[in-house]
Formats: sequence, C-alpha cells, structure tokens
Amino acid sequence: MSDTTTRDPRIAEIESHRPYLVRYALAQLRDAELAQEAVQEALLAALEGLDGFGGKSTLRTWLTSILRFKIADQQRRLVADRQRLESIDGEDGGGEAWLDDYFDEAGHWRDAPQPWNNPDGALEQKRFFEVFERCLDKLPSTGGRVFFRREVLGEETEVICATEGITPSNCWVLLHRARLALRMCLEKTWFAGEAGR
Amino acid sequence: MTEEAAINCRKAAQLLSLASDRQLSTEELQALEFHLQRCGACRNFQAQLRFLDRAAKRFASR
Repeated sequence: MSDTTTRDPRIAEIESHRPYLVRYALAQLRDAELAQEAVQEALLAALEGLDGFGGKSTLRTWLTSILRFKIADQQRRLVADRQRLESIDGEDGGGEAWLDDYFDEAGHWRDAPQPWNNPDGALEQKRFFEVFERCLDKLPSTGGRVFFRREVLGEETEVICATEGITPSNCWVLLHRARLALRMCLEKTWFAGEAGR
Repeated sequence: MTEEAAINCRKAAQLLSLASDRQLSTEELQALEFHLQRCGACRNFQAQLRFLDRAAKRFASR
C-alpha cells in the first residue's frame, strides 16, 4: 500500500464493505477460503485503482464489480471440481416436517403473522441492516446461500438450482424455508422489540 | 371455488413464496386469492415477503 493510499479516508470505507463482499464471494464460490482470497485480491486491486473510482456508482457496486472478476478467476481454477457437487448439508428439501414448526396439523399458522410497525422506516436505519445480516447468518448454510443469491443478488432460480446441483423443487423448498426463518428472525429481533415500535 | 379446492395457510404461504420464483398457474392463483380474501394472517405474510424482497435489494446496494 502506498503512502498516498494510506492517507486516503476511503480505505476505511472500502474495508467496511468486506463482510458484504465475503458473503457475495461465498455465494458464488461456496468455499470460505477461496472467498476470502477473492475478496482480498479484489480489495488490493481496489486500493491500487482507487483513483479510477469516479463515484459514478456506489462504492459497494464498484467493489462488487472488481470482485466479480476475481471470483471468475477462482471459478476457472475450480472447473475441474465442478462435477463434485457438495451435499446440501442435510437440507434435502424433500421432507416437509420442518413446516410443523410454523403450522399445526390443520395447516393453520401456529403463530399467525401480525402486521409490522413501520417497515419502511426500518429500511432507512443502519441498525436494521445489522440485524438483517445477523438473521442471514443464522440461516442454514445452503438455504442461506440460495436465498442470498436469489433475493440479494437477484439471480434466476434456474441458474441457482443448476450451479448448486439441486432440483428446482428442492430449490423452492430451500427458499421458502429461508424466507420463513428470516421473517421469524426479523420479527423477534426487530419488529417485536423496541426498535420496531 | 369449491370447498375441495380451498387451501390452508400452510399451502397459501408456500404459494406466496413460490410466486417470487416462478409464475403460478391459474388454479394456484385462484386458490391463493380465494384464501387471501379470508385470511388476514396470510395477507400479513404476503406483505412481509414483499418487505424481505425490498430489504434484500436495499442490502445489496448499501
């Protein structure tokens, strides 16, 4: 790192995006070590090219675009392993017993969803997104990754299913399960507490 | 909508989630709308799913 960049206040700001970038890389690479490597390479490249950041996009968008190239590099290295699809952590998605946590025998909500107070206001608060991120971290790994790719990155379900090596119906079950769990987590940790009032 | 075609909250929640990922069939949509007209809890769930979608998009662009 040069003297010029060490004095630049944007460095701390760049670093603050690291957790998001690691999550982004993990969603693509499914390997914590490779994801950390890709992010490290991307951040170094960003620091070197900091003067080229014109502020036309947000810093996160710019960093993500650099990271995409680094991820593509990692993926090329992984081509040989493509066929070796990891198991989906016991979340086979086939059974529906997990739904019993949310619904009774007649299919009614055990804990019927109530309206949330001021959800629009939550979206304006930094603290809400810290809670949101913690809730994402609590999701089972495959479900959390599939949800992140679908909802945060906006990838098509077909693409996610294919690269995760799971059937569309299992993919939908994983997404549904993740949404129910995330909704419940936000309700308990944000909307039912002081912050949501 | 016949009684046989009516769905419960468990199925309605599944269809609401599924609607984010694929086009529902006419039958699925009819059954879902019939259920939503009568179920406030599922209408709340529907609104909260939309919120999750917005929150996730906002999370990406922060």
